[in-house]
Amino acid sequence: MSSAGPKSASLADQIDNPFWEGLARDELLIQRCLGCRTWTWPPQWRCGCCGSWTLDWEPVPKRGVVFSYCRTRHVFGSQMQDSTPYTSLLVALPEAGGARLLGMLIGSDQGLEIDAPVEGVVDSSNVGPVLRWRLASSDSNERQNDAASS
Amino acid sequence: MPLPLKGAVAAVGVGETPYYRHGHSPDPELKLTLRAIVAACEDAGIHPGDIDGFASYGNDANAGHLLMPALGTRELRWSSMVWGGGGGGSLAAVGAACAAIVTGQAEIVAVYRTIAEEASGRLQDAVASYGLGPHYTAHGVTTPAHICALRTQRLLHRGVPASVLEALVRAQYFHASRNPRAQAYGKALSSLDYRNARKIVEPFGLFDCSRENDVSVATILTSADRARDLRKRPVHVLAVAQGGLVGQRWENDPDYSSGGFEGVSRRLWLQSGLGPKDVDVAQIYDNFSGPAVQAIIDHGLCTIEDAGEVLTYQNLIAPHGRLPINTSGGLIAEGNCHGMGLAVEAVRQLRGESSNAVPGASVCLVTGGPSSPLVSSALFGSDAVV
Repeated sequence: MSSAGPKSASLADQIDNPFWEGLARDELLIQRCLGCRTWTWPPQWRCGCCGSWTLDWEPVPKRGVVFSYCRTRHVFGSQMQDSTPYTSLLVALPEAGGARLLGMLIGSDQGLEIDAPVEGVVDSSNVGPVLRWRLASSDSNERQNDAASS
Repeated sequence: MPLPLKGAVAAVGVGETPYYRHGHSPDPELKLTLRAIVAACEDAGIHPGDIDGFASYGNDANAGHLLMPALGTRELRWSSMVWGGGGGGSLAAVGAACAAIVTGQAEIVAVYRTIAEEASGRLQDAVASYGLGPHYTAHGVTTPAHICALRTQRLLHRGVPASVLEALVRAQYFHASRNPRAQAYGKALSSLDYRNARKIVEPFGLFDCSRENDVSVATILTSADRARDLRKRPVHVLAVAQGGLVGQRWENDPDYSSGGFEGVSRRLWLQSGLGPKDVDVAQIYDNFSGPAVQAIIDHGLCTIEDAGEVLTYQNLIAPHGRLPINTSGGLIAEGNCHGMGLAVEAVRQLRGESSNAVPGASVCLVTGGPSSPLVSSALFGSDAVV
């Protein structure tokens, strides 16, 4: 793997810098063309739709839906030893033109399926801030489970 | 419409080293490469020094100019590397060789791929390094297995039954069990063993995943004219296409359940004047079972709707299945040389030399690298179709 963490110093001049800076402020920023208003994700230097070189970063609510997911059971490399098994998500952001972000599920996986709504949480406990996702219904699920067992 | 490529170039020699377990090659990569190319020359009846072109992909480190002194190359006239990552470039490298030969820039081109863990590291890491930056790795999406699992989950969501993954994998093990070159030689796979296998990245279990090997595989191409005088019956390139509609998109492809072959397969049929119904046998890049099924659908061999009906174990096995696929065992059960082994099996199949020969096969489809930003495919044919 070429990069050790979500954001390494050597990548500081990369095009996606505002994304990581946004997360550090608890904001989800997605790039958007100021010419034709197309959401340009992954970020680009030039809008391939209208040819504009003027692109900006817009705050987007940390709300999405599960577009796909996979559950990792095999330990790939020693750094994942403690966190395996885990569930990775591909999350579509309806409020950013359907742009998709890879992510990791935290909390309960009860009700995990394609199209399930998820809510993002910035986790700054690692090398840099990353966006994790929780099933939007999982709080109520857990409450129901508590009620059922009591 | 003129078809300038169809029948102009032929594959005349194929060769490989054994598929060693990854990390267990007795030789460094450069020597493995020489062994495979010299074996392919012997198969063709060509002096290794007559090769004047080299084409590879997947960031292969064993460039033609490094091979020249040991091959006795008289003059290097063509040397090309395909961009785009992984096995997606495998048939594109065949396409580069064809371009060189048809335009007279080279006469005899070796297309090859060599992998040895000692030099290149684990294949899964090498492939991951092409495109998996922090937006992937921060979420545990660190290997092709993860990406292919995400895409396969979507394919299953579209209605393709999981039974087709099992059917394909078991058909490949059936073929490999009869192929002495295969890692799984003598080892058919039962339905129970497939289902009980430990999970790797769900929806994939162990047997849905390809192997990693230390190996080199080579194919020699030359003009159809020159091919006539050589040792073996020539196998013609009917069409070859590379590319994609999407590019590097961080999993934002509009059709995420596709393998990315839409444009490539359309051009394949246009170039050849053939269609999916003309394919007698297919060698489909199977880094994982799901992407192979995507590629089969993308090439029109079945649809999402009828995949469950068409892709059954009985239909997929040689000699009498309706569409035998991966008759060497493929990357999953023969061994993984990043797809170059599939082109070699196509040649053997059309010569009648396959361990799982399909009687009368005259058209073989070969695909490279689903789910990567650049993919490629080729159609090979016997004398009967040119």
